[in-house]
This record gives sequence, structure tokens and C-alpha cells, in this order.
Amino acid sequence: MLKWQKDLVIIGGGPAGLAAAIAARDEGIEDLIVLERHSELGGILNQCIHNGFGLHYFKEELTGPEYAERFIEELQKKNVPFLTDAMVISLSPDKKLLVASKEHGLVEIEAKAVVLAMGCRERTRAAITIPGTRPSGVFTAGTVQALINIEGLMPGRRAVIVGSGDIGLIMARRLTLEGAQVLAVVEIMDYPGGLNRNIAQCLEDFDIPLYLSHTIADIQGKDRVEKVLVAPVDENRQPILDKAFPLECDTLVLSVGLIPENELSLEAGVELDKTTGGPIVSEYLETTTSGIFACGNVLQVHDLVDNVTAESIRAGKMAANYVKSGTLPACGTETKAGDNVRYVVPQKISKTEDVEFFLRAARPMDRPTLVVGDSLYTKKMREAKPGEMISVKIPKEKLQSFTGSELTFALREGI
Amino acid sequence: METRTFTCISCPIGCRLTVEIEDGKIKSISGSKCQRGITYAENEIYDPKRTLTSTIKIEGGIIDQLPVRTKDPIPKGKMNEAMLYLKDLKVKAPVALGDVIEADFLGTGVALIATRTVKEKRIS
Repeated sequence: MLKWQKDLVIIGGGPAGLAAAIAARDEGIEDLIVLERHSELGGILNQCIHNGFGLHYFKEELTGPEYAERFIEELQKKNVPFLTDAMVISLSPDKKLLVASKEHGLVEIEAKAVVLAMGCRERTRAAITIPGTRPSGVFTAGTVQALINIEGLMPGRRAVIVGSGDIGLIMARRLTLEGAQVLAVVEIMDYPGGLNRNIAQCLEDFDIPLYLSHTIADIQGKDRVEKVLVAPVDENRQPILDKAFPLECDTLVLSVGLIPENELSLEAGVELDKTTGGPIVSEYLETTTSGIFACGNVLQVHDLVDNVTAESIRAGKMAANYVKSGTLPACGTETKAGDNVRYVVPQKISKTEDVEFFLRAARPMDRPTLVVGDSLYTKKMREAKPGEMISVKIPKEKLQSFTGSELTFALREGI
Repeated sequence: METRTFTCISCPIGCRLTVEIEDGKIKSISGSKCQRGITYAENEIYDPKRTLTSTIKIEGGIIDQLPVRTKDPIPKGKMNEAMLYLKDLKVKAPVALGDVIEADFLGTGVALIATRTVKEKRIS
């Protein structure tokens, strides 16, 4: 078995890993490698052929493959080493990796620092427990996307989509353009999960009905999906069965959320946040295991790839600082999600620098005020939506004036 | 006077636009945070346009589907025609990111471009 030593190993060659690697190289780290289990770099962007990427970072509207290729080109221009068809089998707390590589066989790598950039995976039928038979024709939205955009195959002709997150909406449009009929998008919450622009350009443009406060109460069909039962839900989100109606379809597409992929992180002793499903990190994006950093969808599920890029550039820089100095400042103050806030990242801060915090609202709110640490910092907002990440930069002077051990972030109405 | 409301699709903010129309002409546009919203609203009333993204077949490449898009938005009414046309469109690898597949796509004056590089498949 080959044995390598590296200053920095980046696990994952999607948008997070690419940006982190380029940033670390820019900080002078030469002895690094990006490990990607797929045969190509770019991650999920390769199958996201729709436009809407890059408005923040590149100030122009790109498709997923275009966004990815710009970073892949930069990576290659800067001679950052990468290995495709290379899957990390294990990661230990002392940063030893076991890698299965198509080119090199089994390789053991000893790293000074590691950036976790493995992304996330989709929740499946099992995760939301839809009753009914188990026929073929039930797909996750990402699988449908891969089938159509990469393989050139149509998964079905008459589809119902569960969940109104952006991927579900994008696939409603894609299926329609490719000649399938999308009968409905069914959303259990009383508000849509995806961006307004996607409701407009993916559903309204094609007259696809969106059923809010509805769920799938039953899947019917022996070998293939034949019918689903759509039911409104009560205030406890339980289906009201006597008001259910059937939709005849051959395909059910699930767009019901993403789960950060942290199996390797857990092996390395990295503590996870119960709400985000991603590692607990300091303001330096360092996990609870020294020298292991996290960024992108493995840390928290983002709505925009531009935000993944910004976060990952920071992770790359911080990992580079760690490699150079062997340590980062202690972060003794914790952050906490208060009223109407689902989570806050980072979870730990040092109070020695300005910090940009990322949080998500627990419910849609009109003209809320973000209140940090009682009255340490307040900010009036136009609106808050669970589907749109909120970011707030708090200057170090404000943070230093906080004397408690837990900094609470809350959203309040009517202030 | 007629009032129409719709969501701007120019960026992720998705401003809610309100347009007042009289005798088929725009009287006022409100709700937009930037100039792009104004342009979008005008197009939406007079000539709605969308950027089309899809895939076409590619031969001899490391992958079989080439992602493409219209360089600028094209008339919304052309979407079905465009999809039928793309169904039979085929190119040969190699293709580079940004390569023009059709200079004047369906007579719209807008180019159809490749949105990724596809190298030739090496035969080993």
C-alpha cells in the first residue's frame, strides 16, 4: 500500500472542495490534494444544467456546468493536484485517511489538515415514510435530474412531485420541457420551499398546480406507480383522508430535503449539530477535531452555490493558516438559536475578529427584527423565509462587549 | 386600467412586480429593487422571454449528453419548437465551454452555446 504525507487533503471535488483548494493554494500551501470519488470534478453542478448560478460571485448568470468549469480551470491553472475516481474509505481523528483510488489502489495519507467538502445527499421515501405499495417509479429529484441530463433517459410520462424545494421545481420544468406531464407539486408546509423566481419560471410558466398544506397519503401500483392519493393536512400536518383525491401517474418525484453526508466526519470524532446535520464549527470553520475543517453542504445545506463558494474560500484559508501555524485561536463563546431561528453557524466564536453568521428562520416572517444577545446587535429585515439563508456580519467590538457564554440569535415580530 | 403582478426571475430575491397597463401600454412598474426588474417587467408585458437550458446528443465524447443554453433569453412562445428542434440536434466531440452550436437559434438572433467542455473519448 502506498503511503503519502500531505499538508492538506480536501475531501470532495465539488464547488466546496474546488474553492477551498484554490484558496489554500493562494495562501501558499503547495503540498495539497483534492480527492473526488466520481470520475470528474464539479460535483452535483455537472447535472444542474439550468441557469441561475453565479450572480453573486461572478456577477453573471451561469448554468451549473459553467460555474464548475470556471473553478476546475482555475484549479488546473494553479496546478493544484487532484485525484478523481478516489474514494476516502476512512478518516481518523489524527487525520490519517485510507483512500481507494482507481489509479493507485489503496493509499494511506497522513495529513496535517483536512477540509471536509463531501456535500450532501437526498432524503428518500423512507425518510418521510409515505404509505402504500413499493412499485418502481418513485425517484428522488436528483436521480431524475441525473437520468435526464446525464444519461438522456426519461424516468416517466406523468409525474407528481412531492416537496417544493428548488430541485423539485427545477425538475417540474425540466420534465415538462422534455414532454412529460407534471400533474402537481405537493407541499406539506403552508409556504413553498423554493425561491419565488422558481415558483414563477418553473410552475407558473407551465400552469403546474402547487398544492400547499397537502401531502401524499398513499402510493398505489403493483409493478409501477399507477396512482397517488393527495390529501390536505391538518394543523398537525396529518393527512385529512376523507378530503383526499387521486392523481393517476407513473412517476413520483421526491424533493424532500437534503442530508449533509457526514459518515467520515463521525469517524474522525467530529461532533455534529443536531439541527444542521453538519459539524459544529468555530468561526474558523474548524470542527471539534483539531485541524479538520468543513464547508459547503456537508456543513449546512445552502440555497445558493455562491454562498458555498464564499464559505469554502474561508475554510481553505483557515486550513492554510492552521498548516502554517499548527493552531488557531480558542473559541470559548457559543452561539445559540433563539426564538424563530432554526440554527446558527458558526456555533463557536473567539470574539477576536468580525464574524459573519449564517442562520435560518424557523417560519416565514414579515418585517422581523434580528436580535442578537438581548440587545447587543439588532437589525430590521424586510422579511424572513426558511428557504433563504440569512447572513449577518457583527463587528468584533460588539462581540467583545458580550460577557455571557451563549450568544443567542432570535427573530422577533412587531418591534 | 389593468393591473398585473408577477415575480421577477432576474435574481434569487424574486421581487414581486406590479404593472399598470392602459390600452396595451405600460403606465407604471412598481415593486422592483433594481433596473433589471424594470426591464423584466417590460419584456413580460410586450414580449416575454426565457433562457432555455437543455441537452443535446454528443458523439465520440467522454459523455453522451452535452448541456447547452441560449446565450440570451428567447421568446417564451418558442420553447416547444426549440425542444423539438434540440431533440434531433447532434454534435461531435470535442466541444469547448462557450462554443457556438447554432449562431442564430431558430431565427431568434440568439446563439445556442455549449455550457461545458467535452473531450474526445480515448479509445484504449
